[in-house]
This record gives sequence, C-alpha cells and structure tokens, in this order.
Amino acid sequence: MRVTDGVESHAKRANQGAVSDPRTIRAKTEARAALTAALARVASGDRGALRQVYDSTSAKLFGIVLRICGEREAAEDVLQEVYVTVWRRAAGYDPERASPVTWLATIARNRAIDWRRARRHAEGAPVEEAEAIADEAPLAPDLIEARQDAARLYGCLDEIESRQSAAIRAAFIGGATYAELATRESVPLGTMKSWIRRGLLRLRECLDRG
Amino acid sequence: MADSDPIGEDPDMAAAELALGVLDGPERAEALRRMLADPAFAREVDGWRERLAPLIDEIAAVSPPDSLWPRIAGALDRTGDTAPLERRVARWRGLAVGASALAAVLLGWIAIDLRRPPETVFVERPVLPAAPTRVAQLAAADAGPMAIAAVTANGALKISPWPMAGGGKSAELWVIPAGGKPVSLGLVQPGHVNTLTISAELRPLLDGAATLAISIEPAGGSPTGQPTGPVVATGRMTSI
Repeated sequence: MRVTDGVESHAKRANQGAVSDPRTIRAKTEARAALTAALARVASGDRGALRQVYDSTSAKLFGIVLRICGEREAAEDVLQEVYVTVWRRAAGYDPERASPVTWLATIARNRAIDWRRARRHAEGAPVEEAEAIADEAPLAPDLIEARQDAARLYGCLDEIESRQSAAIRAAFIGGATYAELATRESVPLGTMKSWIRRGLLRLRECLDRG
Repeated sequence: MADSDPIGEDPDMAAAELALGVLDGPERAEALRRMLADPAFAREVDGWRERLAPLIDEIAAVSPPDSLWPRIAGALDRTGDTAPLERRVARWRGLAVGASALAAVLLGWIAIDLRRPPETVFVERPVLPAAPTRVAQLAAADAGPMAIAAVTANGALKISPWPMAGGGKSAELWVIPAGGKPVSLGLVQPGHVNTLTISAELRPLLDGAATLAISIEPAGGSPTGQPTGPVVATGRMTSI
C-alpha cells in the first residue's frame, strides 16, 4: 500500500469532529484524571487499578500494536508485555511530562516497534502492514485526546506538503522505518528522510505558531 | 533533491524521529542513549510524543481476546516473573538477535575474566572465574535496554550501563527484593563495565525474584539510603 492511500479521509473526519461541546471536554478531562489516578494506584501495587487501566485502554492499545505488528498472535504477546511493563513502571509515570494516554501509547508503540524491528532483522524481510479490522469496540472517552490538540495537528498537517504529511502519518501509524517507507514509495532513502524531517520541522513551526 | 527548499542541510530532528518511530539500528540506539544522557533532548522527545499523540485517533480500536487479561494476571502472579530468558525470547521469535547480543556480551566478559590476572577483590574466588548464574537486562520505561548485569555464584556483579547521568550526578545501583525495599549495591559508572563485589549478606537478595534498578542521585550517592532521584532503568533477575 502506498503511504498516501486512505489517510485523507481520516484527516477530514478528525478535523470535522474537532470542536467538542464543553460537556464532552469536561467528561474527557475527568476521564483523563481518572486514568492518571488509576496509574498512581498501579504504582503502589493495586492490581484492581491495573484492571481498570486495562479495561479503559486495551482496545485502543491493541489496535495500535496490531497495526504495527501485523499479526494477531504477536500483537497479543506484545500487548501482554505492554501491561506487564505498565505494572512495573507505573511508578515512573510523571503526569507533568505526558498525558496518561500518550504514556501508554508510547509504551505500546515502542514494544510493537521493537518486535517489528527485531523480527525484520531476524528474517530479513519487511513486515507487511496489517489492515487492522475494526470491530465494534467502543472507544473509551479517555482515549480521545482533547479535540483542540487534534484540530491543531491536523490543521498543520494540511499546511505542509501532502507527501510529507502522508509519510509522517504512515510512519506513526504503521511503525515503519525510513527504509521501509522509501521502498514503499519507490523513492531514494535520502529523499524519504528529507520529506519526513522537513515535514516534521514545518509541523513544529506551525504548531508553535498556533 | 530537486526540491526548491530554503533549508539547505536537513536539521537535527532526532528527537522527532525517535518519537515518530522511523529510526532503526544504530541511529535508534544513539537516540535512545541521548534520551537518557541529555534531559533537554528527553524533553524534546516528550514534546514530540505529545504533538503526534492525536494521530492515535486514526487507529481503530480492536478488542483483544477475553483470554488476554488472565494471561497478564498470570504473568504478574508468576513468582518473580522469572520465565527463563530463552523461553521469553522464543515467544518473541525475532528477539533472537537481542539474545545473541546479550550472550555475546556475557561471553565477552567471561573471556576478559579468563585473560586478566586475578584482582585483589576476587581473592576468595576460585582460579577459574565462576560463570554468571543470573542475568538482568535493565530497561527504561519508554526506551530500550539501558544496561546488562550478570551475577556470578561467588558474588561478583558486572553491569554495563549505557552513558547516562552526568552533570555532577551519580548513578546508583539498587537491588529490590520481591516485596522489599531497595538496598543500595553502590555507585556505577555509566559507559563502563563495572564490577561490584556483593557482600555475603547481600548475596541472598540477588535471587531470581529480585529487581535491579538504577537511579540518578546527587554526586556520591543517595543521602537517605533509599532512591531519591529518578529511576532510569529497571530489570528483573533471570537465572541462567
């Protein structure tokens, strides 16, 4: 699949839903506070709190991991490692540094990317991207970042060159390396690096302006 | 490239690239090391993770199977979670590469031991150094491996933390027995292979259920006897 396929509609959808009414925003703020509090209890060894974190985040994190791993069985193994990691490292979570969802998503992405990289090195073949099959799992409200942030990000992604923003989205969602993205787009490695670096630079300029 | 772009050279975007996940191999390892060695760089990575976070909304949620929570609970129940490294690696298939790297490092240490004349700290050890009996890979919460440790039966602990700390701070190694409080094993020098001699009374703490941790402390070590600074890496001991 080319990186530019199928991302435009997502961007539009996310953009359209950008403005939420104050009640929704308040509910999300409360959900975020609840998740932060649950992580603090996990840090003190409360297994029930881990279950609470799991119930409100596992569908989203499984979606993330499955997209990057591309295989259900591997994704299940990785997701198990993710929550064991959360259990062990919750004490290191600092709400000042990251929102709880970002922290959890980062662990999930890193574990899945580790698996993907290690597997590619071991087998010498690129991992095919999986089209994760969406089910009817409800999206827990605490998993949706404040919509204003999303609106700004998508606004800025729309401002930069489309091939740059498409490459950035594909890299984030699929966990692909520069080399994989270059192969997929049939461009030299240096070109792909330039697209993404310059895209990221412009993205930061735009977000810092806003 | 043929882009009419005002920026000549590509700027250093390593923090953004790490957050995005496009780095691989030595570039990724280097960025992960910078994250621990350079707080400003680490904050930049955090900033990028927050900036990019809304992109997770594009990823469809998928319910994991009902069988997964019991598996997680079981993993937490397992005494000390001491699944042999090999078995965990087998489950993770591709991580065989990591396992061979770990084995190579351990073999390297043993080889160095065999070449070296006995040091005074090892007066009580036999002529042939004891092979490591337990190992631990210490990792940061949101980064990759940060240190590898090996303990021999005669109480020598070797640990090789990646570069971290600096700025007048010290890195301190702790053992956390299952259900217990951290006990200091001493200061370690990041970027070097450190050999610590563990006293006979502390040796029993380094069993298969123990966790090793490195915290960043004021120069000279924690003033309180307990970790006071950020814990930058932790890892469970595994018997081999």
